[in-house]
Amino acid sequence: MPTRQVVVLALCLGALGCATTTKHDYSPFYAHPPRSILVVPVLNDTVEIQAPNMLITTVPIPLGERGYYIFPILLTDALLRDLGLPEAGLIHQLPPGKFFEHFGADAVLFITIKDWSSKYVVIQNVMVIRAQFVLIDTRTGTVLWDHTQAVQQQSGGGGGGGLGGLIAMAVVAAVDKLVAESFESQYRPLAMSLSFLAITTNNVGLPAGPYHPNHGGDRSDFPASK
Amino acid sequence: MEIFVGSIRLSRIGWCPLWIVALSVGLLFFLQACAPKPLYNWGGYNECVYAYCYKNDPEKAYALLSETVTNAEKNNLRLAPGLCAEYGYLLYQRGEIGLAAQYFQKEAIAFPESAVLMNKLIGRLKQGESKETASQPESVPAPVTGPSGGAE
Repeated sequence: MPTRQVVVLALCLGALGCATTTKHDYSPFYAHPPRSILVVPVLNDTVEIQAPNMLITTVPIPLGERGYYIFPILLTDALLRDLGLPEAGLIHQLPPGKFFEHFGADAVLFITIKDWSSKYVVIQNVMVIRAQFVLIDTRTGTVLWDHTQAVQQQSGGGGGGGLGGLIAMAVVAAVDKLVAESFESQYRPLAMSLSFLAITTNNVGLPAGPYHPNHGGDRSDFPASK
Repeated sequence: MEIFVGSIRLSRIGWCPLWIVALSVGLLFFLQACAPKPLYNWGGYNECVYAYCYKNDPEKAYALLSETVTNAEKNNLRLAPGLCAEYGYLLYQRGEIGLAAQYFQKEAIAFPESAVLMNKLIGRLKQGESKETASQPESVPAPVTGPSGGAE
């Protein structure tokens, strides 16, 4: 019996170890700690054309609650359009200094959607979102934070044994995909958790900002590797 | 007999899932303890941005933000960063120039990080008012620096 417990414990620790292996070096971040962050339109590497507009709506709250000043999303988009920059592709190529010049922002957050898909695995729909978050210092162009976050969720699920159950599940999954609202109702919570996890997770997220009560007190959670 | 058998089965396998149950309960408490109180009042901002960006419904976006700002002012709640500025922008879109400038000003006072941009926008609004010519229907009062990005 004890050996079994040890094995279980070892497995748990192994899982924890895996979860924290991708450590970031926060020394550039601490060298240029931003107060204000400009979130610009999201770049899309996938074919899901609705994805960027959905994802950007999930960013302000976790980022603001992390203690940073967030420039208003709609106003930013309109101002960029007036500057002749209607597309994320153009905006992401702009020299970082331009965002300081036009907005007075300390840092700019570039988000790129890497994966946004629904895969049919055995009897379940598995939805996956993966996105890269890159925070750049607008005065020096230094990369302050670069983190790729992935989330996935299985839809359908539930029991229903036997072959009949399997077929029923397959039908449900197929119908799921066809319902127009399912994209919204299924991906929106997933997109929210993606942004939340990317921004707040220890060792990979953003240290607490100047408006956060824990500002400056979480260096052990976001270590500089020097 | 059945109950007895059932209870034996429960007690025999019970100890193992107990670990999982204890872990889950612990995790729940842990998460609850970790979850801090929100710094700001966000009201319907999330839905507002969603309505505007995703649903392409500026009217609903305006209604949601208007309600949020009014409610925060009435109850003396601390509005989240960007909300006053965003409201100012939506007011500007509706031709409420004076009110728009007021909310840009509020944003600049509440969050000095926004002051550079807000003052640019306010300056632009005032310029537009003094000209009194609606010859250039811009979507926003563009910053003083032009698209060419000339240094100020």
